[in-house]
Amino acid sequence: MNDMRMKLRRRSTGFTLVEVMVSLALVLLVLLAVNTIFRTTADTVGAGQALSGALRNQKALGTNLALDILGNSEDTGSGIAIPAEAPYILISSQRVSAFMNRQDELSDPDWASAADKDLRIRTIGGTATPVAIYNTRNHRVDQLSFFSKGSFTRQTADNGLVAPFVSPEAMIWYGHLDVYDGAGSETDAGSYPDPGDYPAAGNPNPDNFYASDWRLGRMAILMKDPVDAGGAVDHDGMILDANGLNQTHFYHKWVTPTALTVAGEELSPLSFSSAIGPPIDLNVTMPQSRYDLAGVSMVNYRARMKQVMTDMPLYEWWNNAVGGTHGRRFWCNPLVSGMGMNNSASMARTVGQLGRGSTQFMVEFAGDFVTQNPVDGKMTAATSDGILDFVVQDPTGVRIHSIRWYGFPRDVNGDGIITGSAATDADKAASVDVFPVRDFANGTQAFEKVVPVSTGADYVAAVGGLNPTDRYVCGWNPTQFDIAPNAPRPWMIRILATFTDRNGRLVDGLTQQYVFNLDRP
Amino acid sequence: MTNRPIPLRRRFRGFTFTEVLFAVMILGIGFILIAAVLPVAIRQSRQNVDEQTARNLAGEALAKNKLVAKNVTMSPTGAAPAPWSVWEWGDLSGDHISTLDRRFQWHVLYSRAIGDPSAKVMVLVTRLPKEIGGSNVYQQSWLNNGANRPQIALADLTDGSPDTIKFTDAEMKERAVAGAYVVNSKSGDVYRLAALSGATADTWTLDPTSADIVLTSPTPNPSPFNVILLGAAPRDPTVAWDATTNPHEGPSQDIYLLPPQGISVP
Repeated sequence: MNDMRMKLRRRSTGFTLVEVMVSLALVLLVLLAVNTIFRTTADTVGAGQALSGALRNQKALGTNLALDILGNSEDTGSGIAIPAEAPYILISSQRVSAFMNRQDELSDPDWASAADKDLRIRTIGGTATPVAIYNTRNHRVDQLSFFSKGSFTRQTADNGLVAPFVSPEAMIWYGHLDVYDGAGSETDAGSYPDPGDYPAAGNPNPDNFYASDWRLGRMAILMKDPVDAGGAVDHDGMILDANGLNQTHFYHKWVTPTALTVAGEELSPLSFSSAIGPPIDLNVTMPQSRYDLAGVSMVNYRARMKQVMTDMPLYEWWNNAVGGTHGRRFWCNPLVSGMGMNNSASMARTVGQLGRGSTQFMVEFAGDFVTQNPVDGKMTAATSDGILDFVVQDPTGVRIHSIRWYGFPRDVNGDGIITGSAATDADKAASVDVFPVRDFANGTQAFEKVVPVSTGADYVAAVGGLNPTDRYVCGWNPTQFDIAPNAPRPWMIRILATFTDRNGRLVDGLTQQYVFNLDRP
Repeated sequence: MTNRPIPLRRRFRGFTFTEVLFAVMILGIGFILIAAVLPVAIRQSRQNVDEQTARNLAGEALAKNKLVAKNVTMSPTGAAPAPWSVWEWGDLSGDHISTLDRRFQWHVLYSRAIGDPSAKVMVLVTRLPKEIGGSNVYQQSWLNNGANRPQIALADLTDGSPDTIKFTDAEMKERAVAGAYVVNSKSGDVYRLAALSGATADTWTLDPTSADIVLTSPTPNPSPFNVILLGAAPRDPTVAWDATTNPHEGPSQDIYLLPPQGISVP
């Protein structure tokens, strides 16, 4: 009986304090482990997705660049137009200051009150990042325009039409896009701020202010001469698609390439302000990304360019061409407004986008622009000599020889110095940094349309580094292309692009470098 | 038949402390297994990025070589069919390490017959997989040191099932590692080492994706053959090779091999 009572008493007792404490400790351990595992998993998956997204954007960019510049390997006639056929090549380089993302902005709360926003943004911990050091509040937003051959399919159309139309020629543009602010009219230029534009009352910039939001774009403006019923080139004729329907296109207002017209229409139909027609409709112009067809062939446009250069040697064509100015970019609205057959305009503004999170897009070039001493690499004459310009490091020792790259100043070897025009000839000959041809040739070249202010032997050490508004614009047109046999033109193009993640999961982003050969003499 | 009642004590009894401890331990093992998957995912993502970097660098190297190839710098490697050889950097001696990521560098193999105005080139991109000589990136000062570059070697090739390769040189034996490429200097065929086999563990079987070893018939070439061992395991190039104190070790440097491309040699 006593045994029975004992058993009942034991059964009815709870856990001991020690058991409860041990159990609680175990539960806490398990919770901790679960939390850690979930957090690590989420971080890993997030970082992996961010990396995959950046890599996907890089692959898209690399594939498009290769097709546009190198062409299809099965079609040897495709790729970037050779100098004897190309109307122009235009490289426009510039940097803008910008926060990487919202968190970056919050870490610098006083910038908005400062008059010099550019400097305030670049100031980190009391020290201003020199404008020649990139990807930390200081980003390159270059543009590249050229002409290519291949098989280009239209990606825009009139309302209600799906236009099966392919052209073997196109003008290609790469650069950051102006992104719709979601507030103003979709057909108003003021509603499409440039990358990094400071938001202001009435001019918000919710989607293109932080560098991690920027969108890299590619536009292919197809080229074709309008043809009338008789088959002759006719400037006000029609361009028909496979269904025999006339295609709305950018219109040129000259009868023949050699006939000049009124000022402002010299580069039509491929100037930045070109409008559709005929009849001309100034409400629909090139930057709106509404249409991607121009009523001119490459050969006729080249003839046009050449005539303009001959008749107007002082004409600043690069300012009116597509891709010559930071404030003139193609529009993008990634969100389609409305559905149905009448939203072709809205759809058209989505097609230029290659990828989001493009914090940097840099274009540099190599070629034969000067004559150099073959031993020490020093420049001996500012004329081409048929040899690709090169760098010679350690000329009296092991003598390291490499290709010289030109462009907007950039520190390549990470030594914190960017060789400037006032550096010694020996320093310039041995420098692997990127700088304008002007600095190496000791004089601005004909193709250097806009050059940065040169401030000394080192762009970084100079007061304020580069001028924040400095640009480097190089343009080669038929006038330069036709100088034979050693025309100073690019033999190679190097493109560096960085894509990152909006949520800061990729610290430095993912940068890839693409190098392509162009035609050489 | 009678149903025996379950004893009260057994019916109401909870888990014992030992049972709970075992359960927690098993849970912990589960978490560890889950956690073990994460580095694999990270590594795979990083590998994808590195492969893309290598592909772009190979394209860059090819573009540069097309520009600087000259008769004097890319001299013929022999009479047709010309054997494959390692191209010296010449005008690109400062360009072989990527400026974007110095863990990567490129090498070029080429084949050019006497009198031929063109050549075939293969571009190999390697990635330094570990720290050597106090550096985790390639150094320009290592340029003239053959330690971590493609090497011409002698090897016995066997057309069998499976095909095998056996290096005759002591250092080549030691630097060969799974994943490395081997190019048949005569035919240009590319093999990839898979695993060591044989009684003395000095014979390599080939990766199934490799080219088949086909010995020239009807008069087979004499063995050993000239081959080019690409990448392979790294070693400190600042110190002389020694199998004990400075061996080639670690994984292969090879990451991407651009197949033969034709270029003109003016």
